[in-house]
Parts: sequence; C-alpha cells; structure tokens
Amino acid sequence: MIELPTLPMNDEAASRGPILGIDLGTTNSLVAVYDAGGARILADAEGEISLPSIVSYPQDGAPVVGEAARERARLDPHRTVHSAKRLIGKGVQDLGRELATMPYSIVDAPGRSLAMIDLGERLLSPAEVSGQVLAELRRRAAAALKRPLEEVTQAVVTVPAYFDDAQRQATREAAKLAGLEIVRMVNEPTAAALAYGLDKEGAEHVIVYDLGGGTFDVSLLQLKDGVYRVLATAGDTYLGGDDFDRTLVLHAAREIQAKSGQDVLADPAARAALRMAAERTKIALSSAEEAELVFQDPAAGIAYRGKIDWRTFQEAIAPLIQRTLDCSAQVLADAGVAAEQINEVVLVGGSTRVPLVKAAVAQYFQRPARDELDPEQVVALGAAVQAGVLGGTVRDLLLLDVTPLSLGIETLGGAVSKLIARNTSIPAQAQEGFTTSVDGQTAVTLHVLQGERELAHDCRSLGQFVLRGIPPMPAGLPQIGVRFALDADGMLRVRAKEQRSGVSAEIEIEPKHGLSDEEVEKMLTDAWEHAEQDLTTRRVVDLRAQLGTVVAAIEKQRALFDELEAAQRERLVDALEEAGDAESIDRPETLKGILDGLEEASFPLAELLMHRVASEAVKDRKVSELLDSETAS
Amino acid sequence: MAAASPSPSEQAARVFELYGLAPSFEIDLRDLEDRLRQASLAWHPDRFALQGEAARLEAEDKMAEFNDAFPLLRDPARRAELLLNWLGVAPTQGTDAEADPAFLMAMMELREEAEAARTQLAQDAAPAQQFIQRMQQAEAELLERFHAAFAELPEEARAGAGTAEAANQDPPHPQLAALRRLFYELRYHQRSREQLQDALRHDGTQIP
Repeated sequence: MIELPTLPMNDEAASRGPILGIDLGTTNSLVAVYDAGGARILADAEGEISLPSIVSYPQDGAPVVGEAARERARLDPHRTVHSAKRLIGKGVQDLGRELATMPYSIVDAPGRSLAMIDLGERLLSPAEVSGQVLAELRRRAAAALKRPLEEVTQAVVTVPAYFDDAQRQATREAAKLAGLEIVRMVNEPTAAALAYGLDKEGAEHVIVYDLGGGTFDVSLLQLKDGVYRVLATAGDTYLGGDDFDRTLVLHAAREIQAKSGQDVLADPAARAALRMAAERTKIALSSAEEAELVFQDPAAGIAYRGKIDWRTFQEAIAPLIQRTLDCSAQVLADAGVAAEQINEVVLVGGSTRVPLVKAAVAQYFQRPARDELDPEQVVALGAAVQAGVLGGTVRDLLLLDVTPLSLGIETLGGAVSKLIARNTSIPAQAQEGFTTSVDGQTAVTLHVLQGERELAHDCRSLGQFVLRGIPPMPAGLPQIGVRFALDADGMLRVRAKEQRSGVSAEIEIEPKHGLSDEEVEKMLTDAWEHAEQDLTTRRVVDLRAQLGTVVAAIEKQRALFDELEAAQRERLVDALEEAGDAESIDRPETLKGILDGLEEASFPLAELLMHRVASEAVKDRKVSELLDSETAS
Repeated sequence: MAAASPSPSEQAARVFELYGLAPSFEIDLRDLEDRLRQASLAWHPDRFALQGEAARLEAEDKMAEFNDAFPLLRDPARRAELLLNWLGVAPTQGTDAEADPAFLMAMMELREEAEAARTQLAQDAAPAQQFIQRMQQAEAELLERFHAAFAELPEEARAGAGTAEAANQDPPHPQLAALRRLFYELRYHQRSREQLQDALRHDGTQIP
C-alpha cells in the first residue's frame, strides 16, 4: 500500500477571517469569496463587480485606482498605469515591442533588470501598481463582508499558468504591499476548471482555453473523484485581446494618417484614447457584422469615423488565433491525449467573447465550447473555491497543478542542465551535486534558469544562488548536495548541504527581477504614509480639468459655428452652456455625462475642420496651426 | 560524517515501494494513477493548509517524492531504466555499448538517416514523418523485448537487486548485459525520433 500520513488534516475549519479569491487581471480584477451559498463575486458599493486594473498617480496626491484612474488616462497618460501585469517581474529587455505601446515611460531599475515606471520624481515598480489594485479589492471585500480591514488578510490569487518564478515572486510582493498574504497561487485556467465543477458531470479530460487581455494559457486537466490533475499546460505571455485591439488601432491610425497627415500614435494621450475606442469597436463586432470605430480629438482637430467589417477583423486576428491553436496542439502532445478524447472545452477570459475565437476553438476540438459562466468572472470564482478548499469549507476536492517551465542550471559553456522538466506535477524537487574547482574555495555560485531552450542566455534567469560557508578543502573534494524544490505555488526554494562535513551551506539569492526585502519594506512604509484621499474629490477635479480642455478647444473654433447645420449648432451651444456649470457640480457621474455629451456634440465641428484641412491639402501642418493662421487672416 | 546517500539500486527500489508496487515492467496505468490520486489526497500540502508550517513542509516533501517518482513508473522507457538501476546495471554512456561495432554502426546509420530527413524538412516533411513512425514502431518492439527479457531473468541475475550491493559483478551477468543493450538501442531510437520531432515542431509542420 502507499504510505499515508499520521498527521491530522484540515478537519476543523479554523475561522481566522475569510480567505479571498482574487483574479488579478491585466485589464480587470475581481474578488470573490466562498461561503454558505458557494462561490460569489463581491461587488463594490455601486454594485460594480470588476475593477479596472489601472492606477493613476496624480502629481499632488494619493494614487487613484480603477474606473477613476481610467478616466485620468487621457488627462494624465504618463502617470496612469494600465497593464502593469505585463511588466511585473520583467526587465526592459524582456518587453520588446510592447514598450512602444505603453503611454508611460518604462526604465530599468538602476543596475538591475527590473522594469519600473518613470514618474519623473520617482520610479514606480509594477508590483506597487498591482499592490494598489489588490488593496482596493481588499477594501471592497472588507466592506462587502462587513469585516474590519485588519481581519481580511489572506487570499488565493490567480496568475497565468505561464508566469515564471520572477513573475510569481513579484505578484507575492504586490500582495504584501496590499497587506495580503497569498496562501496559495493558482494558475488561472486551473481556477476556471474548479469554478465549473466539471468532475460532478463525469467529464474526464477537460481543456481550459484562457484568452485574456494580455496573456493566453491553455491547460489540459484530468478529473476523477474530486481530484483535478493538470496533465499539461502551455501558453503565450504576449498574446491577448489587447493584440486584437492593436490591429484595430493600427488600422485606424493608418487611415487617420492618410486623411489628415497626423500620426495619432505619436501622442500618448491620443493613443490611449484610440485604444479605448478600438476596444469598443471590438466588443461591438462580437454581436454585429460591422461596427464603427469613432475617434475624436478636438484639441488636435481629429474626427475619425471608420467602418470595420467582420471579415477585415477576421483577417487581422486570424494569425493570433492560430498561435493559440498551436499552443493547444502542444498541450495535447505533451499529455499524450488525442483531441477526440477531450470531453469538455471551457472558455475563459474576456477575449473568448469574440465569436471568431469561439468558432475556431469549437472547430479545433470538434465540440461546442462551454461558456455559461461569465468568462470574466470564472477565474475569481475558481480562486474562491480553492480558498474554500484551503479553509476547510470545501471538502472532497483537490487541485494538482504542474510547473509550466523547465527549471535548470547553467553548466560550463553556457549550456543548461535541466533539473525539473516542464509539466512536472508540483510540489516537485530535484537533487544535484556540486563541488569546488579551486583549493580552499568556500563559496560556489549557481545560475538558476527557467525555460525550454538549450542555451542559458535564451532562458529566463532567476538569479545567482551563492552557496557560502563551504569548509575549506582541496578542490573537487567538497560534495555539495543542492536541493531545488518547487512548492505547490510553483515557486522555487533552494537548500544546500555539504555532505562530507554535514555543514548546511548558507544560500543567498540575488534577485534579478524581483525586489529585495528592504525595498518591499520601504514601499510598505511609503504606502501607509500616503493618507487615504477622497476619491470622489479627485475624480471631480480631474473631470473639470478635462472639460476645461475640451471647451477651450471648441471655443477656439467659434468662427466656424455658423457653418454647422442649425440643429448641430444648437446642440453644441447647449452642451457648452452645460459645461459652463461644471464648477458648481460635484457629482462625478454628472460631470462625466456632460463631458461625453460635449464630445458627441462637437463631432460635426471636428468633421468640418478635418474636411477643411484635407481640402487645403496641407498635410504636414498641425490642424491647430492651420486654424490659427486662418482665424488670424 | 553524514550518512552515505542511497545507491541507485536502493533509490529505484524506493520508487516502487513508495507506490506500494513490486519491481516489475508490468504496470497498470489506471491503477498507478489511482495510487497517485490516493497519495495526493493524503499528502498534498493543501490538505495541511491550516496545520502550520512544519506539517505543511513535511507534506510538501512527501508529495514531491510521489510526484517525482510518478513519471519514472508511468513512462515505459523510463521504467526500463529504473529497473536496470534496480538490478544494479545502471545505464551509462559508453561501456559495452561501444564495444560492439555492429551495434554502433547500426545506430550511426539511424542518426545519418534522421539528419538527412531533417535537412530536407523545408522541401519535404514526408521522409521525416515516415522516419518518426518507423522509430515509434521500433521503440514499441524494443520495449516488448525488454519486457520479455526482464521476465525471463534467472534468480541469480536478480540477486541483491534493490540493495547497496546490487550486481557488483564485473562483467555483469550476460542476461543483464543483454537487457541493458536493449535499453541502449531503445534510447538511440528515441533520441533520433525526438530530435526530428523538435525540428518539425519548430518548422510548424503537423507532428504525427
């Protein structure tokens, strides 16, 4: 018989405050709990369930998180950080082409390969940004559960299956900054499978296809008797719905350039706005054959209204979808399971709402894909189920995950010696022997890597591990046994022992991508020092400023008002009048309504301007310059 | 002095013992999976989430042991290697495999054929795919032969298996040497196939 433990298991559910289930997404984040009624999402006071993963850092005050930060994106693009998850645990050289699409400035931390956002007066780490998002979710959860904040300290947080050790480490740091301990990190696709509870339906092999905003993951699970065992996983950390948006952004930018000669992509604020417009178009295309992409920038005098049909969109995203299917094929091959053996396919992530994606997946696996749970909520719900498992509320359920990437060490000549192969079930460990090369040597440095490539410089470096305290002996004599262990979260721990003397060598890890403990401590202190600021006040100030900019841009063209149709002119004048009352209004919703109304009403004016510019065939000059000279004459 | 680390033979014995199995080439995969599931339900650290650090770490070590042993038992080629270790004839590079020129020649021809198929991948993937299929068949046959040869091992060849003193004879018992030869042959076929499959994967062509 197999060996069984004599220790007690989680029989009594110790209640030491709730364990939250958190989906920390690239674009949106959610929090859920598992209680008597099962897993449920916790909404904020307004009933909003998803929190945009955006944090804005005003020059003069506390950070703003979520919807309010999104609104600041246009006003303050350099200080408004979205998609921090794409940067977390990475260095600038890891980012590649993505760097150009971020409106804020990204640099490496001095002397390290650790991407930071440059706010001018200081460098901001992506972990801090994610920490703000997590802190907001924590506050939201405490309020929804009517618990004091200090009782809400534990969470199960999901990460893309393909996150490496550095990215997982950085996520852990982010939670720490938010006052949360991550009791378990769960891979997103695996969490989704838990939320569906497919074991009860008798499915044996399940594919989870998870296409989010910025990342793609696919996992194959085997289900039996309440045990969810991941057989294989694959993914692409640079593939998601944002890339779908990007195809539309580029399409629109090309057309705008052709019409007006202006490069909207050169201006970070315009780029951010165009990105949002493209996202709306993509969503519209999921329920219509054709959709409009509307983008205007009154300040620069751009009004663009383009039509995108379903077929154009399909052609643009087909190569992206094909990449997801290649990953799916890899997962099947790795697990040794044929496509016909798959009983269920589960769709996760907002981007699986795109009908073209849904159809491609169904065709590939020859079966309709399951999407009855909201693809944007399913991961958070699954995290809550896992929280229930850990807290002892959910019984008869166990999740067995794998490591998505091989772990190895650099050997002579820059080659990689693999210690733990990818798709190995975790927790896992490997033992390796090392010795010294010089007489009396007391320290040995190991370079630990993660990845599938043969050469060290093609893999991801997790850092240098220094074994110190080796007793002085002739070269080659010490036998240092190093144990590399991956825990259930997929995170690395290293232990070493010199076997001749029995001395445990001290191990020091120099973080290559992560933050040092001191840095985390300092950030924690800084975070507490920033007093909580009234978010509503912040939003009101920002919206008024935005309104001011738009009003000024329109007022500049007053001479052209007469050329508008009467109804258009009337609407514009009314909207301007309404905007004039902004100073006396302090409800952000009302202000937002006025701003939207004004932008809409100014559209015909902007079109008129565009037309003028085009007809005068002055391509190289800015619209504002042209109009300035015109009004002067 | 720290205790000497267990011999490969003892380590191999431990893998079978952990799963409550007698060392054998015959393994029921369904049963093996059930055993892993049972071990996971008992030992996975998630079951000890509320029991404190020490209990969780002990469970983690134990679960890792089960997880690490599982692929060695599940995959037939790795199981063959495990059994050789158990018998005390750990497969290494070189030794008597190199001593047989006919064997070496045959393996070199395999390599050359694989290399030829790889170089013409861009023009025609068919030879590579045929080669892969042929290797898979050959591997299955070699495993069958290994299976039969293992079952026919006489008592004296298995003496001491699983202990620190396993098979200290040099040269090894002829039937053990033959068994190891089968494994070397298997490994050559497997490597040639895997290299070609990697090349195909990078080429983006459908893998058989």
